[in-house]
Amino acid sequence: MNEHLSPEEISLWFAGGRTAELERHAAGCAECGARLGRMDSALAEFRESARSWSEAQSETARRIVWNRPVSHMARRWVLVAASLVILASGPAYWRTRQQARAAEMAHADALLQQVDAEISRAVPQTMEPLVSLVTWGSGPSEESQEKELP
Amino acid sequence: MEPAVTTRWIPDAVEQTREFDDFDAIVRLYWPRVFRFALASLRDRDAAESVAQDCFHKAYRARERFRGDSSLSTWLMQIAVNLVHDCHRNRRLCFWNRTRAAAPEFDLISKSLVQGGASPETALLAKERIAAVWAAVAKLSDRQRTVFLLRFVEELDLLEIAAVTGLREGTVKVHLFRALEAVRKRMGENQ
Ligand SMILES: [Zn+2]
Repeated sequence: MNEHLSPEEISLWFAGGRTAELERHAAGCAECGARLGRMDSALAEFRESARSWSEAQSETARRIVWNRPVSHMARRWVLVAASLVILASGPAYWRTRQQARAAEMAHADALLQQVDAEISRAVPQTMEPLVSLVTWGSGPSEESQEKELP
Repeated sequence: MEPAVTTRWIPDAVEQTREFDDFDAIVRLYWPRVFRFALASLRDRDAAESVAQDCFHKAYRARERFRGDSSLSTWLMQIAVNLVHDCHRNRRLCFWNRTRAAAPEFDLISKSLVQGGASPETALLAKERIAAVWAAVAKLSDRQRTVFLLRFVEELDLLEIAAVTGLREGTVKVHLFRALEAVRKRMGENQ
């Protein structure tokens, strides 16, 4: 083959279509060797550019947050475990609820008793010290007072 | 003068173990490749992260169906390719992708070339070539772009690309040829 490689043969060369005949010509032809060399360099430079660009862009991707997807089985187990927790905590919940209700009732009773006491008081609590000064019980006995009556 | 196949960054031992016990380790290992492919395809970091996240979620959910017919890497890339295609198919979702489409940082690339010993003129020419390839890639059909990125960024061979995309090897070659024609023309290599 004495003719130079056609432009299509240059592309074919890099597309995996190099034949023994093309190789023979390229080996003995400086011009075709240079053309193939330019294409080879361009492709190598392109590869390097793609790789360095990717590396620069993946700086954030290096901190990959790989979220492993939850499998169907794992999801099923999570559901089962959650159900068991609910079932197991049911009686305890009701017990706690009952205790809380009993405490509430006791508190309410205590309040009611306090209210009853407040209502049944003849004198407001704030005036009790004053009253105690003149209360019949605190002074001379009723009996002696009665005696002093004419 | 095919592009030199550099050392694969995925250790063979891990590739072979196909262990799903430590799925977090699988994510750490394969995330960069999946993210890179999604980013180059969609040119949007948020969308690429979303695709990567979805890819590993799908893989995790389907891990029991993985029979080891292909490598773990191939299997994950199959999922990623499908997610990227779904994203392209869903025009409404992708509208913002296209409007917000990011461009690689060409300045960073030329700076690193200069730091690597290249002259500013050489770095500038390289920057222009890289920009031309990205511009051509942006205009490719979804399939052509996928095949092109898998070949020239991920350095998969044609059979691996066929396994990832579900296409026949001959079809992969046709898509790759058309993609290369577009790139070559964009670069002005018409002689
Ligand atoms: Zn020639």
